Amino acid sequence: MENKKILSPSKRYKKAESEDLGIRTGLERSEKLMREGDKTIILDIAELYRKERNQSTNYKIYGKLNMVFRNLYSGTSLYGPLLNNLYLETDTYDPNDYSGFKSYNEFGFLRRDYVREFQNPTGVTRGDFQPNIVVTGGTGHQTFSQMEAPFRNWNLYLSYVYDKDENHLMRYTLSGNTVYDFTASMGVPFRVTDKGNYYELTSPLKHNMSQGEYVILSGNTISTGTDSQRVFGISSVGNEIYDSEYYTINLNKSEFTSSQNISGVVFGKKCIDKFNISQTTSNYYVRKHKTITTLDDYILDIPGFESPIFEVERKLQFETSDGESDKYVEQNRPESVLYHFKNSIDLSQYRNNLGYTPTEIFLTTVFRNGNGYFNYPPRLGWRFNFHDTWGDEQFDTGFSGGDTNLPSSTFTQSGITFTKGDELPIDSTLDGDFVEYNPIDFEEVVLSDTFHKLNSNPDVFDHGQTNSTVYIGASPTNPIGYFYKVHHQIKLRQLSPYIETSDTDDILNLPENTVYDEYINLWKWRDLYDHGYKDSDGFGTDFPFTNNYHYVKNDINFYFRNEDSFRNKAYGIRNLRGGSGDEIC
Amino acid sequence: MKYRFDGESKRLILDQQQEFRTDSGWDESFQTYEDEVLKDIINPIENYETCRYIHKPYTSSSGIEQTDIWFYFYFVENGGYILDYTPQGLDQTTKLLADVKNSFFRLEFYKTPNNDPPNRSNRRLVFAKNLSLPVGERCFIGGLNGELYVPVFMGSNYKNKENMYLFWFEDDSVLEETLLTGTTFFMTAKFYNAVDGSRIQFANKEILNGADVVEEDDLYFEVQMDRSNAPSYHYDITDYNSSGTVRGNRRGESSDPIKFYEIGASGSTVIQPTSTPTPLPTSGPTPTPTATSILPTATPTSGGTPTISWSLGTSVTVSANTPQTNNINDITGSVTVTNGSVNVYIRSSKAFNYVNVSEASLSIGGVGTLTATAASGDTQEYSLPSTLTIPPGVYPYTLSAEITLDGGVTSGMGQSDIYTQ
Repeated sequence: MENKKILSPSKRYKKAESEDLGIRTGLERSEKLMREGDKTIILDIAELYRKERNQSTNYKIYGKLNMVFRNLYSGTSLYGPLLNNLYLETDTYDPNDYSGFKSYNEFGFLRRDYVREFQNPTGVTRGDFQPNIVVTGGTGHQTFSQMEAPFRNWNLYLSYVYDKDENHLMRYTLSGNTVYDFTASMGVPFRVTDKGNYYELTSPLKHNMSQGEYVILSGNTISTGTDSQRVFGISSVGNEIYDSEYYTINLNKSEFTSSQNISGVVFGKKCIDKFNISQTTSNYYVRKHKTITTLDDYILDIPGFESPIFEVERKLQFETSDGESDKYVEQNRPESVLYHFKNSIDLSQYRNNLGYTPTEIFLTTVFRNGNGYFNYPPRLGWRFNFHDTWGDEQFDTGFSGGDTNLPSSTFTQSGITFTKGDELPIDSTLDGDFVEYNPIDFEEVVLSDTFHKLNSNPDVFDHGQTNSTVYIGASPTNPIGYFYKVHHQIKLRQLSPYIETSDTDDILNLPENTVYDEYINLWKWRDLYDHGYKDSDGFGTDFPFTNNYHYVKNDINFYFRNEDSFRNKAYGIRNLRGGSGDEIC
Repeated sequence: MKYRFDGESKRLILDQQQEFRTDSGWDESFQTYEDEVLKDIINPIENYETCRYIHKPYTSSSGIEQTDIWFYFYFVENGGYILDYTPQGLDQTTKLLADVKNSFFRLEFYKTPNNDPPNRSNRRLVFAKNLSLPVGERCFIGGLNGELYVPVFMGSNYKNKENMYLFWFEDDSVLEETLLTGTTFFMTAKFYNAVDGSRIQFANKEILNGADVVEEDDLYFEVQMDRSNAPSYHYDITDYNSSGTVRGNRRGESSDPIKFYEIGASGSTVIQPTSTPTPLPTSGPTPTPTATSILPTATPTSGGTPTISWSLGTSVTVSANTPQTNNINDITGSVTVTNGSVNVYIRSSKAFNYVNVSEASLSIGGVGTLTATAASGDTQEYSLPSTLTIPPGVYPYTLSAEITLDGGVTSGMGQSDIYTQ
């Protein structure tokens, strides 16, 4: 009788691919019985590769960054070096009537205006060689070389979520400058509309709530009582507007007591079971990131064979303010750059805010402001803080919840003090997305992405950014500017979309993301998919694996937006106000 | 299984079904051993990834931090050295001729066991880099009123040039069982001539008048790669000889290029090593053997060639940041001429070709004065046809540069240079 090993038919996890359990016996096979004491090992290179691949926690991160930006603020400058390099709207400079755009070099990933050596070799006779090296480039502001050019405007870091902050101060502003302050733990802000028999609650972000669930409200108009006295069933979601189910919930007034009348803005937390509030209510918080790389860990390069499809907006300025003729100036230069982190990261040394090995890291992009033309540090906010036609008070310099606390230093030139950013050391912390975590769903849901907001120093470049008659809500402490998403997710492992449960006592062999659910009295976890496996819904990871590294390519469209022209709610909430003509959200 | 002695019973009772499990724990150990064996014999994990090393940044004489690297390749002509391809039979026209296009320099990088002084017995070629002639510098020759490719190469990561990246393993894990670990390399150069298929070996110093060539001392520059210090993964190139007397001086900067010299100006021969070669413990690709260079003998020159040396150099610059006149910078030193008279001329050049004016002046005590002015609209101007003829001797000299900014422009720089005719 042949001694065959039959693999167990049980799958490694629920949706794992089935293994071949058949034994194919050929008529021409000649095999011997094993002698006692012998050991058979099946040399299976595919199996070994799979095993090594899934045991490896080393990742190399690289990809492409596409700058999506239009330089649209036109203004004036009293600072000579910037004035001399403006992309003027006119051919010549008229000191009494001019306006221009900052050079794109002030925004680009790779600056091109660095000071450099240039050679123009000449000789008189054959064999005579004089390199004639001269210095060229520069803007007259700050001198920097080609070594600094890729790091002067923007800095890239890898970061992971290591903690959370439920008490982070946040602010939401309606038109008319009606300001509501709250902490992250209070949940989603909702604008209340009294619809007679029911309240319609509209949020500026996707609320992640469904019909049949509950919402625990708080706010100025419903601040008294316990949670159980302020929990209301969601009778329906959405209204007549397309996609409104993501932003609107409806609450029957019959659930409210006679003393409970809500108006203005309230804050809501999702609850699954009103009879078990403590174990089924979502937690809301701001994620905390920690950087794990330095500037020396990455390089930024120009792609060899690619340029964006958009046109470079450039011209030869007929005459600049300092009388220079035919100067090359750029208003916009669509940019694609390659980023590459030189060393691998070992994921096993980190733990995320939920207590297990992270399944994702982030490409954290920070504006460095090397030339100091912008106010620094940038202000912190979230996607819901950007409105169609007015500025949110979240970014006011007097509001501590908008502080990014990025390190900076100053220098003075021509009597103007400029502030520029400093390099972030390893383990620097930054604020992240506004998320919801429900113990039943057992998963974080990003409700609103983190953004940093920049604005020009009005002493250097003035486009009316502090003038409330030009931009609604603008003020000297809250100028209008630019904003960008700080953390771009890079998925490294895939947790299953389904939840596994067990009442086993063998807890040592449970996955590290296992938690005990006292609500159902079971251990529960999400399976960690193998690399190379993708389920029928497309969930999974499949990175090239060699040299004991996973090579993770992640291309990012980097949207650097003008606050003035950006329409936050183009695909959803913007239309919700159409019916009523109400502009408050 | 353990029996605990209770101090009373003096007997052990063994059951027939009792299993002592003397192999307890073996399975796990054996499984670990099995995993290790499998990892070793099937597709073992080794890091074969190569990564990019850049030329180590330095601060140039202009005060700019950069990575530009410069190579000069001198060919022999009439017993002396010249930066020109004519001695190799390479003609140049306004079109890119096939001979020029197909000829190339080859930088060869070797490793030796324990970084011993390299020779053809112990060195191992690990990689090479070809420099095609059209990638090199083009020089405007005034006498020809045209541009020529010259054997000068500038590598820069940031310009549209040969980037001079080197690629090597990011760690030594794949070399662990050899003697070729470490980050020290030895670089030499050859020229492959498409005109006649010949190949020329270069040395790291001038070797003239039939001198013997000691391979360990005369052929190589040392290349050190650095994986950890910022910017991580960089290299630098220094002088090298086996005795260590001229090691360590960094070369390749814009003001101090790497200079390779053709061997064999007057019948030099490459001396083969006399020491017992160190056997290499590992097998691997054998480098292409290089034939011993018994190069053609050039006609020896009789007497000395006129030479000239300037104690403070032949160049001076001046810069201005505001409109001004009489902005002058100068150097005063001594010039020494031997073996016959030398003709010199000067040039004035400036960074911008509008508004500002640069002026160069050379005054040699007892000999005369030269001036050259690059007026508005000119980038440079020579004193030619005016020259100074300096007889053998030692003279004081002053070289000055002046830049005038008339207004409007807020920066400018002028430079004065002395040339030997």
